[in-house]
Amino acid sequence: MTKKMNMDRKKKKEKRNAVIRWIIYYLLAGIGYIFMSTGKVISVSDMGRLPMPLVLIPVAAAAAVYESASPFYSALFGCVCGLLTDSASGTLVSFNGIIIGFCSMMISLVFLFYMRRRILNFILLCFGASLIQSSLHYIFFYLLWGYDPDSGILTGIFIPEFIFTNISGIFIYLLFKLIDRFFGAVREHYIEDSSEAITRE
Amino acid sequence: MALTAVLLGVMIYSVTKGGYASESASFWSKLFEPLQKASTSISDKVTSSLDMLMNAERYYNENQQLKSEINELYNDIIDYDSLKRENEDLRAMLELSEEYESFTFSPPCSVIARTTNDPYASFTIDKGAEDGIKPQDPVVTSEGIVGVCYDVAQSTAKVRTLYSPKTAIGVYTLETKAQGIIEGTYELSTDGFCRMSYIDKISEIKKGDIVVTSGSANYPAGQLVGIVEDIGMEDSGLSMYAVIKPAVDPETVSDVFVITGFEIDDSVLAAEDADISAENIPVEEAVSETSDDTDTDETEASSAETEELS
Repeated sequence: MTKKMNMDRKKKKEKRNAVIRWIIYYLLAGIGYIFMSTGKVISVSDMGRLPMPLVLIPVAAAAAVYESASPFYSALFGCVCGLLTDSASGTLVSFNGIIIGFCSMMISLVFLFYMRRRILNFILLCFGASLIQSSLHYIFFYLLWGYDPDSGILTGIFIPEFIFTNISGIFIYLLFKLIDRFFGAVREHYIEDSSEAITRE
Repeated sequence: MALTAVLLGVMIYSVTKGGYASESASFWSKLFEPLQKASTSISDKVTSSLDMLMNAERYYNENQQLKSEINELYNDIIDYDSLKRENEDLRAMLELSEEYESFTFSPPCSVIARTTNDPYASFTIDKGAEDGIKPQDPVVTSEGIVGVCYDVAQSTAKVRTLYSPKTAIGVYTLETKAQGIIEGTYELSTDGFCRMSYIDKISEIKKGDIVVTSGSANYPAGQLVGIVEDIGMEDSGLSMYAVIKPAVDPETVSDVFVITGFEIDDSVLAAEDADISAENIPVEEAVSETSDDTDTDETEASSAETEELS
């Protein structure tokens, strides 16, 4: 009886934590969007103009890693992040939505079946996702139209943006780890749970 | 007894000095002056140290209060500066709307977002279709043209600046009347310039020329674009190009107006019609028309005379 009550309580707590987690993820996406749309470039006096990191890609990727048990929700969150990126980057609506949504789902599935939740694994997959996004963005919006004959946009905007996005990914992953620590899966062990192992004579 | 008598004597002598110190007192005071100074200094320091220790909390609170007051004052100064700047912008825009009475302006628009990592510095304004803004509407400030609207939503609109290669605006130089098209490139935009292309190579365009819009169905004529900074020959050798310093820096602009309507000059429309009809004529006919230019002129002249007579 007590065991059932504890299990119910645990489930309830897990559900509540999941709701809080997703609320925090969406809040982070909102903050990321504001960050991305407030400035064109980071001005550093000595280094001239530097592009901003597309923080919503690592945010979507990190959410996919920590919510790998539910790839659909990860993909949905990835789509939202992508749509926000579209709005901030001025790209065709849903261009990034599709790319980041798809990448999020893939990351979720990879972590669900093949990979362990490690920062190096995350960096690897975040690298892949941002590489796909940057490449497609550059090809479809600049290269095909002949707007970058001297590769100035590639070297001046896209490559630094790609690097900064991946660097920001490390911090974002740590932030998600922190969120998971406070609002992650419930790891409480009740006496009744462990008492199963006790051999009663 | 003797010592007491001496001291009494000294006292009586001192009293008789009429307010001045006696020699002995002067001597002692001179002797003890450094010691007094040192002791006072030590005493002050100890007192202040004790005071600091005893009243540390009070001082800390006072310090915090003063800091917050200073911050408030700084914020007031920042608010004052931004209000002053906004006031100046709005005043300039009012003058602009008074100057161009035939134009219909949108309400003043503020830049609310910058497109992330856009090489051409496009941005979003806080007015959209519900304020009468349409795609391709020119965006201006009191200093000159900034760009054109695209992707117009109900309450926001995106602005493509002069730096963008997609912004093709017909322009001419005021002094030398050289015509061309304004379009941007990434390399020039990083230095804050844009490019005027397709300039006739026999034109006399020169550095320092003022560039204004030539006018079309989308853009009113005479809007300041910028100043010619440099001139060069295109790689093909068929035409020239000029590097233009825009009158308005799109990367720093914060308040703009959108021209939602204007009276189109008839001559501009006629010229556009002529261009369109010329484009529609097959090449052979166009060639034959060009060769018969003199004949046409004569016919036109005779028809004008007939009209006058009638």
